[in-house]
Amino acid sequence: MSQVKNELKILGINPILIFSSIVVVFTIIAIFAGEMLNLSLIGFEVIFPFIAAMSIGEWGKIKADDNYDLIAAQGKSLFSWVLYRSATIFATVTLFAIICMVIVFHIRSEMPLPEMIFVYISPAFMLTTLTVMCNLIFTHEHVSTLVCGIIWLLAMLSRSMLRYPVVEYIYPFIRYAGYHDRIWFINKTVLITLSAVIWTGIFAVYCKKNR
Amino acid sequence: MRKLLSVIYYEYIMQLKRIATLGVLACTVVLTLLDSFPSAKNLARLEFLLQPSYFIYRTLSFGALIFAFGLMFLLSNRMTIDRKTGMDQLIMASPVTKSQYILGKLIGGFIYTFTVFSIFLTINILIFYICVPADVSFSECLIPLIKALITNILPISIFISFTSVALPAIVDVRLFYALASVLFILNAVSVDSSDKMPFYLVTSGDLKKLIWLHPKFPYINTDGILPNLIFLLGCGLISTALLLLRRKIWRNEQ
Repeated sequence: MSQVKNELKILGINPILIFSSIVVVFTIIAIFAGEMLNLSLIGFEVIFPFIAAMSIGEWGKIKADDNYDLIAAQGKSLFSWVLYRSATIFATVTLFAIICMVIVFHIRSEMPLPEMIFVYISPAFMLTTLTVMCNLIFTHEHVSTLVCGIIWLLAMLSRSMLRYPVVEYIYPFIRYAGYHDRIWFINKTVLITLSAVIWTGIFAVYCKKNR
Repeated sequence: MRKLLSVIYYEYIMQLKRIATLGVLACTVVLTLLDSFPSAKNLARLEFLLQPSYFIYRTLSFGALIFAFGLMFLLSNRMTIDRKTGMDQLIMASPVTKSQYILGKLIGGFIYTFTVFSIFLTINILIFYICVPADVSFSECLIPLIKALITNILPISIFISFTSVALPAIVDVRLFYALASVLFILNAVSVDSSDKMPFYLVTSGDLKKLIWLHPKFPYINTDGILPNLIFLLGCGLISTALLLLRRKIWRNEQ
């Protein structure tokens, strides 16, 4: 718990201000955007997962952190540091995402709240896991966000790839792409499983290593 | 003037020599060709792919958007990194003025963006010219390329370079990323139409229609071209003005 408190202190007030401004923007869009826009899908399946990934890339720096050598020298396992830092940021973003979901649900009622959370969690978990991996690989700032940003934008631009049979099971924005049958449920489960496998790999590599 | 040119030159060279530039360039060229390489399958899928102007038009909507997104990240730390490494103190100790420093950074970033964008389009059109299974003359490839460079890449480069260099020096870089991601996602979800496109699109705006027009709609909807151009140039110039007006950035005004 003390580690989480420390991470929250390191995060500071900036993310809270930025996420609050995003909540305001979402509220304005929810009120004024027309019926042509499905804000529940584009907002929580596409935009918020990237905000979560970007936050972990920018605030959850590991190798790009100026104090990396210091922390690595003092700790027994890099994994606990990575886990606490990433989980704290992910939980903060998710909290604000849920606030946005409640607002959008009350204003627009496009889909049930639990479904919105499920639609958000899987691409967010996948993109943030990739960002954590990049944070463990790259020593330069912003590179993790760049890599995940390009993957995110590419996924949005490659909806036509869904014509291939297996892609529909791993495409991160399946609901936004218009899949409403049971495939989207399998897709979300596959994404969460893949992310869990990557986390297991990170644990296996870094649980006994301090750098 | 010599000092300004020096800042521009070093900024340009520093950026161009970054390995990340090559990485983003190579990655986007591959992605663009995966989407619209003139292979039998792609030719069957995309009706007008044999036309070089359509190839460039499509490249602007797909590859150029990803490339612009990547360049935005690469340019976003140009001012903040000087502050972080203490380079700004060294520059402030030299006889360089605030406007020379800022304009040098911005113009250097602009020339860099325009150069790599030109390389990106040239590589793509050269590969298209070599591999297209039809009789396409070199001038048929060259003319849309030059048109794209002047009418699209020039304003896009001004937008990307000026906003990406200037805004992160004024606001938190994460806020800049969040706003930019919303803009790029709007660009990504926009569907091509013969009607007027939203003015705020970066690479898929109405400016793109100056390169290729759908044969069924062979007229240019000029209503959307000027707002798109004003948006791209205006955002770049407003960002520059905001940065020049920021007092905290220079020694005498702290």
